[in-house]
Amino acid sequence: MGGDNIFLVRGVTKRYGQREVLAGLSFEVIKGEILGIIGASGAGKTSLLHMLVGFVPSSSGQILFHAHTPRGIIECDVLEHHDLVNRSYGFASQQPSFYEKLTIMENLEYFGAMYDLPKETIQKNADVLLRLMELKASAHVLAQHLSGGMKRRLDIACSLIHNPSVLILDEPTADLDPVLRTQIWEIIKRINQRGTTVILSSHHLGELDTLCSRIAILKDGKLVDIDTPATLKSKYSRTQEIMVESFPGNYDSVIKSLKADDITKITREGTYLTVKTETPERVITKLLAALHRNNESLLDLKLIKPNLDTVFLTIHKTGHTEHHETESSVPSSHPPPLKERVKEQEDGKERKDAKEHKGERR
Amino acid sequence: MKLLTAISKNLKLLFRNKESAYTIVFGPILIILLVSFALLGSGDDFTVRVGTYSPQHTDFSDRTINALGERDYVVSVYPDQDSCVQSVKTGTTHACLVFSEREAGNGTIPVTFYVDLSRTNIIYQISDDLEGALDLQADLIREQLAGDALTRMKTASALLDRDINTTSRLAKSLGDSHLQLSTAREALGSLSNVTPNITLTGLRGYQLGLAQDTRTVVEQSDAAIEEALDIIRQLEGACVECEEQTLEHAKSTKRTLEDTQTSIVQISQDVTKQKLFEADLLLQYAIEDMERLNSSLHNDSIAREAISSGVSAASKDSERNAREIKQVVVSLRYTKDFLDGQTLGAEDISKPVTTSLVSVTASDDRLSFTYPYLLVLVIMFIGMLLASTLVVVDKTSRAAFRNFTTPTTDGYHIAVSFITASFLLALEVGLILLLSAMFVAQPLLLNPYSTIVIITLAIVFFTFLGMIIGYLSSTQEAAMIASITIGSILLFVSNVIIPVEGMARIAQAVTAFNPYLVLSELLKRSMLYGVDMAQVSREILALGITLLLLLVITVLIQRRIKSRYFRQEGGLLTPHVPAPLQLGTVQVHNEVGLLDALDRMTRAEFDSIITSDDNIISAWAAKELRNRRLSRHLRTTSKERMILRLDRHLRKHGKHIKH
Repeated sequence: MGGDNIFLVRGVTKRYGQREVLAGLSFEVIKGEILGIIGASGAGKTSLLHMLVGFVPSSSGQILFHAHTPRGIIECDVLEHHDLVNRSYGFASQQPSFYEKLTIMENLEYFGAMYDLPKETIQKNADVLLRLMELKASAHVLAQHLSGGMKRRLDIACSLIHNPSVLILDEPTADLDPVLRTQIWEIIKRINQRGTTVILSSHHLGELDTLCSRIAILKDGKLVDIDTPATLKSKYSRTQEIMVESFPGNYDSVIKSLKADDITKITREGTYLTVKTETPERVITKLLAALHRNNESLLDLKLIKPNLDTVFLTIHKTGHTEHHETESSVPSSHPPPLKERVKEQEDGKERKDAKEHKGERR
Repeated sequence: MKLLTAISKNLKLLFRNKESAYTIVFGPILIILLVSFALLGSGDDFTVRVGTYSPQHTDFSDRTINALGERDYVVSVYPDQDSCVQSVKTGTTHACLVFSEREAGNGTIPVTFYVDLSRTNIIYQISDDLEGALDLQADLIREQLAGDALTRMKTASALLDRDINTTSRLAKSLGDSHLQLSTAREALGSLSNVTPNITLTGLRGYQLGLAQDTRTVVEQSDAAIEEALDIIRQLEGACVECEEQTLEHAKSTKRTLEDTQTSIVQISQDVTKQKLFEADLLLQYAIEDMERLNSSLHNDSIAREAISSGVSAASKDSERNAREIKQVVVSLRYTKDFLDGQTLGAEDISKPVTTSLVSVTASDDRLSFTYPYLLVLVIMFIGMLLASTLVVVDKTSRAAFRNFTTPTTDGYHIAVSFITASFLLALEVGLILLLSAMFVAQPLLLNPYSTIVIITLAIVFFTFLGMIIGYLSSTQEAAMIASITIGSILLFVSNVIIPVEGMARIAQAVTAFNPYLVLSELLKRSMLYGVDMAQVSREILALGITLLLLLVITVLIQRRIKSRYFRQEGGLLTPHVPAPLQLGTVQVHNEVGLLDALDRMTRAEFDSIITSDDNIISAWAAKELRNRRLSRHLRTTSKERMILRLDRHLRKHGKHIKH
């Protein structure tokens, strides 16, 4: 384990009865980074986060933690050194976790005391956190009277009261509106800037794109990939979308006149014509020429580059399930023909329907 | 329709919550089962334990003890009254019968029942039963007392006969006395009426007059002579130079006067003699009168003697009669006393054994002796409700997750909940004790050491029980319903509502483990009877062991809940997914797949897989499908039979598919 790693996960598997929740996960968390974990519901994100800090023991494999102690940095198993690990992380779950009938300050004081912190330290940490979370003015307000965003901030503050080296956030922006989500992401950035390693899971992939240093993608309990957002995007999706709006909008004739092998897919969405391609610069030229030939006046043109949503969807559609740290993890530069993709999509839908039906019957 | 839908929704909400469903469905059934179990055959098994003490073994006490034994009472004979009463206090016996000695006055035998009045639901039943048993043994005494009364009446009758004879004789004697007195009255009439008139007053007057006169003359003469003599003496003194003749003359005169003086004295004496003579004469007359009188008196004396003898005889008779009357009075008084000795009333004879009910408690007021039961009842309900609510509130609060993540042990969280609940409960109990001290006559801390220990035990016990309920409940409502149900059951199978003795023997044995009953009884003994720790050490030890057990259960449940919590947080509490069954080359995932696979399978293939010793299909149904009933049905080596049974199973559960 390198000195810049804070967690090292080695072949961790978790089973509940016959059900395998996590299967042979191996990766490391680098000190000071923001690691995002994404995956569909039931992919094992929360279980992984719980296992990282020893809430739940693994069925096999090992998780090592790089703990900072007065005697230096020591490597320890999260299950064997539970007390040491517990003091090193802060955990904010999907639901804010604090006492509704206590004030913000009382909650911070209580949880600080649970970490055996001296009263002075609690006061000092609480002051810093209240300023950081912009909760100073409401310090003596009962938690039940706080807004959703404030509750989330209080939850994070409670997780940080003991000044941990790692902050784990399980879907910190769930149920929050875009404004509040932005606030929370800003706060997470600030926390990370103070030197705290952040591990978080979220469904808001677009926001993780700009926030996270690295992203781990889980699917059916398996780690599909872990890398920087940029690398992931380049690995899993080169297709870009060109959206054009023209008048009078007779797109059928435009499509007929558009002859290009490098177009992956053409769809009509409202008043827009969407063209997917891996070579947008060439296709845009052809598209403009086609519009001109069909007497269409250009009203709007957008180029949408691939994002994490696209990566995520691609992984789920193409059935990637294994992550091999040694391989380049770069998919084939030539995606399958359009017909095959449509077929795959249909097959996938059928499989999903069959699964749902099976679940209902059971 | 709307109403039905709403009601249906409510029912679904109720029954989909496990705790409330169990409480609603099984709570009443459990209570009815428990009560039925408790009362099953209780009529024949009612056992009353009686202690007895008799200062001396009498026929009555022995017969009563034997009779009680014959009535299936468990009788213990104690050597002294204190140990007998103590047996009631410690609950060894239900009542202590103390036979006193027979009372001298009315001959009844007092029997005292020492009972524990705190057992209000049973004690009057027992005392009535005992009185019934005693009443049957009282026949002997009843006959004896009636015989005594009759003997007394016969004796009194004989005594009165004797007094009647005496009185008759006395009447005759009084008649004789009356006759004698009549005779004496007649004799008195014959006495003379002569009244002697002897007058000596004249004689006395005469004699006195004479003496007076004589004295007057003598004195006057003597005075005159003395005066004259004085004058002469003065003259003789004054006449120093007088002539001799004169002096001689004076002397002569002086002598003459002195002679005269002497003569006067002589004359006075002579005159007195005359007078005395005359007096004698008068006396002579008086003597004559006296003689006449004597004669008359002599006659009267004779008559008086006759009267005296008559009166004397009557007096003797009267004296004798008085003596006899005294004897009669004494005899009558004896008879009266004898009859007074028979003080038995009709009630005394009809009920010769008097019973009295005495409480072994220091105080007789009802509140005092039911107080321990009330106090433990309050501790039980408040303890369970408070602790379970506290645990559920903490467990279901949003902060539960964060508590688990902090570096605090499970024991720490348990201890915090326990200390909070027990502290609040102790505070409430303290307040109750303080308020009760004003209304309860019994001193509450008669035996402070053991009372406080027992109250503490009760607080700790029910707090732990409440905590377990709290850990097992998912909502506050469920915890409250569960606490109230458990509390009600414990209350119901205690002494407070149905007496333990009225339950079946097996139920009695079970109730011995009812913590509410055990703690109430301990507290009662400590509060009311001052029983010290040493006497209840066995029960306290048993409770201590139970508490340790509860602590272990609490820790185990709390750990399980923590583990379950993280599984729930991770969305992992999904239904069991059965592992597939490999039938040759076919993988079967469920019953429908199995039916399909069996249908496609040849008999030879089936026989190669299924044998009478190894039926993997039946084993798979039990283990993976978790359906033991189906597993039993599939225990066959016939392919057709297995298909038929599986098909029936699928049709029954609406899983049938057309092939």
